Amino acid sequence: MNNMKWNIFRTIILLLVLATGWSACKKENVHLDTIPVGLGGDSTGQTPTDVFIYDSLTVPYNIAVYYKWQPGQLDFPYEIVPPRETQVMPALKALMAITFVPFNDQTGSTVFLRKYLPKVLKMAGSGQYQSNGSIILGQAEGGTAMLLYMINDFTRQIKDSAVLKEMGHTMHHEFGHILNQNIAYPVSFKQITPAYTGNWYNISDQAARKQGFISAYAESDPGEDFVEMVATMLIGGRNGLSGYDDYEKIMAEQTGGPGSDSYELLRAKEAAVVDYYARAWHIDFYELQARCRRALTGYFQ
Amino acid sequence: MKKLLIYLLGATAVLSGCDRKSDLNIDGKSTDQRLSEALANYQKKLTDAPYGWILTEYTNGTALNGGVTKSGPKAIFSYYMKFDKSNRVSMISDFSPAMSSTFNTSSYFIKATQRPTLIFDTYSYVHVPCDPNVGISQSPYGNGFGWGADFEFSFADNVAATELGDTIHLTGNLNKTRVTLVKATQADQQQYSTVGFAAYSTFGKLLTYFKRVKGGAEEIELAPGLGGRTLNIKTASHPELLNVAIQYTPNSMVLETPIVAGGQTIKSFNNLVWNAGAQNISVSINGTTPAVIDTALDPIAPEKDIASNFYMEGTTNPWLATAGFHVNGVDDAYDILHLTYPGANFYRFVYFPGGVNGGSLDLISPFFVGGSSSYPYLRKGLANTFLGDNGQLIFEMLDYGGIAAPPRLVATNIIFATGKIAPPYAADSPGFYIVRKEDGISYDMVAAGDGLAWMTWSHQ
Repeated sequence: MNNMKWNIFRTIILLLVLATGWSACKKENVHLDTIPVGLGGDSTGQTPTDVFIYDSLTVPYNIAVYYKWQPGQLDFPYEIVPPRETQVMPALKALMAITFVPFNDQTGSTVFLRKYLPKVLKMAGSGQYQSNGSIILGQAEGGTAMLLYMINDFTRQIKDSAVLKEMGHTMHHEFGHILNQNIAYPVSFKQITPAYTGNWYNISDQAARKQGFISAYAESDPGEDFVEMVATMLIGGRNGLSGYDDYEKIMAEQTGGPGSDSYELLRAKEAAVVDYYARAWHIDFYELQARCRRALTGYFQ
Repeated sequence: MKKLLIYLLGATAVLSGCDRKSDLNIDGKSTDQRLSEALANYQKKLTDAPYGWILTEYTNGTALNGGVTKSGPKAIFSYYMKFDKSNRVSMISDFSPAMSSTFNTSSYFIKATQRPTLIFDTYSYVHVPCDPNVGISQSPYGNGFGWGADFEFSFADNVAATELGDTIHLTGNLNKTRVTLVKATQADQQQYSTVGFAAYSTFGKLLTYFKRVKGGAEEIELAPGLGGRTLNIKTASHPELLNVAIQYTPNSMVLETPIVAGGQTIKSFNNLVWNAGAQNISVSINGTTPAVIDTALDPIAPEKDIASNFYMEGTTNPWLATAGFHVNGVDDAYDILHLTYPGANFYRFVYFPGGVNGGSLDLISPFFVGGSSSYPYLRKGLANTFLGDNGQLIFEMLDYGGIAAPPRLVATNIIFATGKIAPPYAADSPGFYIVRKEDGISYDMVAAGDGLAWMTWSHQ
């Protein structure tokens, strides 16, 4: 009994000592109203480009655009250069006109894009040159960020239309990935042409098209295949017989034509894509395709 | 008793743990505050210079991309720039005649990375030699590399910003280039604002491959190094080439390392003045000896049997060129880099002596990748090669019909056939001189008719 009292006494003393100790630590004043230095990122003078980005992308789509170089933001160590400032606004305007607007028209509002578009656009002036000879033109980072390269090459001139189409292709490609990350495409798609290879960069686009892939990159894996189909159907693909050709022209001229294995395999993939957009997103893909085509042809000067 | 001791020890530990004297504040400022102040001081150092800065970048002869390091020619790039307080910087550079006098404004930022770092964060003249597109950087390192130049630079002097002097040393973050920032004087500003890097544009007015400096102890031949950022220097008494990087200023060309020619040590060519009438440049060697830099058609000390050796080497190992002819001062003047054939992309120009028809015909034609045919214009690119009296290679270009060649290839083939860039053409083509470059394994093929066109060949 006595022992127990002693124990209680001991515990109380211990608690007192600890309490004193802790309260002694509270002498430090924590200024919760002081904003940490550097919160909100680097501050520089606002340029018209910054104002445009805020009004046209940040407010309606909740997107931040990083066009100024930040160390380590893009892959390291690659020789990549930042965009020319005068190119940023025209390129973003074009991107919105040829890829955002058709989606908004198709879905009826900006809600769809606001929800699923990546929240960050990072821009680079050049491409990222890989040691295997290929050039990375765009990347998506887990559905949160999208990288647009070669902004310095952007132009609205019809004779250089490949640059704008390439940018739109990147956007549709990466956005396709993001939609796939939200709702997976059907597994059966992988079985249409199971012969995927990591050696895709040694295959020409023409050779790939003869094997039932819409581009050489589509041959790298089923996920890339799916979004390459999406992007090519919406805006076209490179290395067509007259440069950057639209989907139907490539199908007619480079696949072997109706009746050939490659042509029928690609049509099967096309059907899978159309079906996926209808079931998963309630989007009529052919209508969207027509809208994209109109927006694109209307944009050139 | 033992327990009591433990409690006392515990209590001491708790109480002493509350001693807050060892916090990170210095002079009452937190780390973040001190950091942002330090960065502001670096910026102030740059913006406080009333007449701007002269930035000189020395590359190391290596370029990094994607974990691959390539070796190649060194280069010096010079800039005159002015920084303002709202993160804008305006500059000129010695990269091209246009950039040498037209100011361009872009943005910069000073950031804490591993070290305080000056970043040119939107595209400017500083990025041109970094551009991975060889069509822009004109880099001999090939696509993806640029010149091994940088646009993120760490302050390398290891002193606080407030203690920096009028010369600041920086180190490039990616390629580790060495950079000096020298505070400009009012006289400097005056010169750069009015004439820019005039020595660069003046020297660029001599469009021939070979140039001769006359007036010093011995005639000196100047020829472009790989990529054109250095000079290959020869004299009759010293026929082995000396490769020297050049630093341009408003009126001088400074040699990175002095050379000895005819017993005279040459450090610089000063006061370049273009003589429109004589089409040459007056200079003073080392600022004292008057001389003239003139055009020349022939090499001063040609390597013995170089043309026939070049031909023979090509028969077993074809020669490759990454771009088309340099013509009249313009690299790849006919834009062979963008030569097209439906569905295929230009890869290299190929010279393969004896490569066709069982060795009886020489191939000189663009090679394509990605398409069904590697040499779609083969029938326009067959030739017989002859050796000239002065050690030239002379091409008889043959036309075997086939599909029409695009205009830029037609123009290229005319140069191959005539050894000149424009009429009047001689009845017999003077052909091309073959000149070994500083790396020992690349060769220039220089039009002997007028010296205004050349193409660089190697096995890569």
